[in-house]
Amino acid sequence: MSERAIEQLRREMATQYSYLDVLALALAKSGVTAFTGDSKRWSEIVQEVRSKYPGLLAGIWFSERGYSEQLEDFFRVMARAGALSFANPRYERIDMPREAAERIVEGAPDALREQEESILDIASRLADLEYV
Amino acid sequence: MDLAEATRDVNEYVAEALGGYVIPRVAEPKVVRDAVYGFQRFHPHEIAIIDSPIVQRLRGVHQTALSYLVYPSANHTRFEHSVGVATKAEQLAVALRSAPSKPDVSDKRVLELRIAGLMHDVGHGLFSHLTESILAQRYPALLDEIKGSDDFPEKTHLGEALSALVVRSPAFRTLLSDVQEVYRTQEGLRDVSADGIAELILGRTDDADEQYLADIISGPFDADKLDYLGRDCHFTGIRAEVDWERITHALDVHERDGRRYLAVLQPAVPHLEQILFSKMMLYSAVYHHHKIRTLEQMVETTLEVARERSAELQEQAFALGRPSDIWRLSEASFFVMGEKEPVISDHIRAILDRRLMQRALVLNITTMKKKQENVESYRQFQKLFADPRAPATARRLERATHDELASSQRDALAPHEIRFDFPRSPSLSDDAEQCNVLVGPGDARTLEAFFPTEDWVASYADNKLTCHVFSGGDLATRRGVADAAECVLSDLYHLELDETARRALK
Repeated sequence: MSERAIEQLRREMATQYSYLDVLALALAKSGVTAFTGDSKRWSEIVQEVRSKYPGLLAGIWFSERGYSEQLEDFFRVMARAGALSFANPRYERIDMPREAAERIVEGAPDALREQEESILDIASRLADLEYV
Repeated sequence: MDLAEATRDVNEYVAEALGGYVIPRVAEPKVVRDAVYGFQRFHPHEIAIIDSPIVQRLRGVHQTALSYLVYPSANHTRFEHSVGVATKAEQLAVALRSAPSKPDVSDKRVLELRIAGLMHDVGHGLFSHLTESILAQRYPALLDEIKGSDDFPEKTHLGEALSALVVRSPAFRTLLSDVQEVYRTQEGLRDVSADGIAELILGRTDDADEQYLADIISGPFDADKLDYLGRDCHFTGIRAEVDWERITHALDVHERDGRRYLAVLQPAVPHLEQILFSKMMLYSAVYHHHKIRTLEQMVETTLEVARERSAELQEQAFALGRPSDIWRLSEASFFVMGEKEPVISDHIRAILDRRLMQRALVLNITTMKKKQENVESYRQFQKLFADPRAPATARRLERATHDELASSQRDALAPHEIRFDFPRSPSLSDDAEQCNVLVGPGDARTLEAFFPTEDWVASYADNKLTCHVFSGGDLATRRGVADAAECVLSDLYHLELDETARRALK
């Protein structure tokens, strides 16, 4: 492909984002590198930020039991991409290596750069999921 | 398209469909022979509902869409599935009466469950989940509004929402009340309500004490799943069994966060695992079969072309301009009328003659060059498999691949004759994390605690989940498409493929 065509395609793709990008970026900006594996707490906090930022986190839904297929997809995708690690056998702690966080921030879609304030707010809530 | 508009459309459709329907006077229960269960018995009032056009339409909706073009005996339809779910729902409900905690399941609720079973799929259109997914892509705001509305649980799928809208429509309410009047001697029937049926279809109940009843219709191991897994295996010939009888004898309810959910006693855990195995087997052998994925892409392409050139259509339903078009257009009319529509007739003939698009590239972890950077790139690329933007990304990649073709091939192949297909990973955690397993009185774990579905699904995503680039044209053209697609994927995602990615080019 020509450089121009690649750039145009990248630009087109960068004009959009999904909840996967938003959650990844907010986690990367949370300043936390180890998160709890407690799925109930994740559901509560993600439900809360989703209600506050429905546009940014459109497409995440929860069942009445608090389960979200989309949150599950997020963990799966992040783990496959090496951005989150569930090395401990009982999923008590989830790690995000610093290099992965830096990679996420660098590769974030352009459209999310205009949402810096909201992302930081989401990041501050996700920081409450820190593993202690 | 907003929810109010969709509701109006559904109401109009149901009114039209039921307009000339005369409720039959059935004197005796009827017995129906089923290939999977043997005999099933139906009350006279249920025959009146089964015979109505909105349920009869399901005879023309194949349960597994076009998989019969790959598995020749997979000709089963949503109709026999719905009839089976009604039977299975009653069996689960009646078995619960003997459960250790002896929940009170009234006759009226059993009747309601059976009707919910019969009606739970009336929202499905031609080719089942395929058109549901096309509508969801075309009307994202409608889906958001449904999920954000108090009238539906958040996790509602579009198909369930449409089924609930049919049941809540004025015309169905009239049908139900007429049936109640004609069959007023049926004990408990007069207390059945359309709203109650709709709530069961949506997997919830007003009364938190009765959530377990809704779980029978829409829950982690519901009558729907027990029926379709057994039925899909039976009709495709896939050797996987579900021992639903064992599960039926191990049911109870469990209270959590103020709601009483359906639960299974620990001894039945291996049989729940069997459900997960069967589901995974069906994903691997049927739902993700590359030829079935090709056929779905070909139908999707046909409907996209119809939409783009809707002004030239004689039958506007092909454009799927409103939700009810997936009911107005049957699978039979898709083929018969589609052949007479010049803008899509070639597409229709190709499916009918089984001249399928072929694989130009096969993309999974095993077809990447064996380098660590490639594994990482591929895992980044896998994000697309879960991303809601995947269809839009696929269309961009197709255009870029078409632009990249040599000019002679570009002229011979239309952009829509190249398709990037990103299947979604199977969703098993949904079942495993929500399924209550009782290990002692009042003490429940989730099925996930007994069976690590997470690791299993991750392994599936790594080793089996495959993205394809499909293409029309001859072998030389497909080679050109493979070259062009490989160039696009390398430039955009840094993916380096080895020779096995082209293994289907023969």
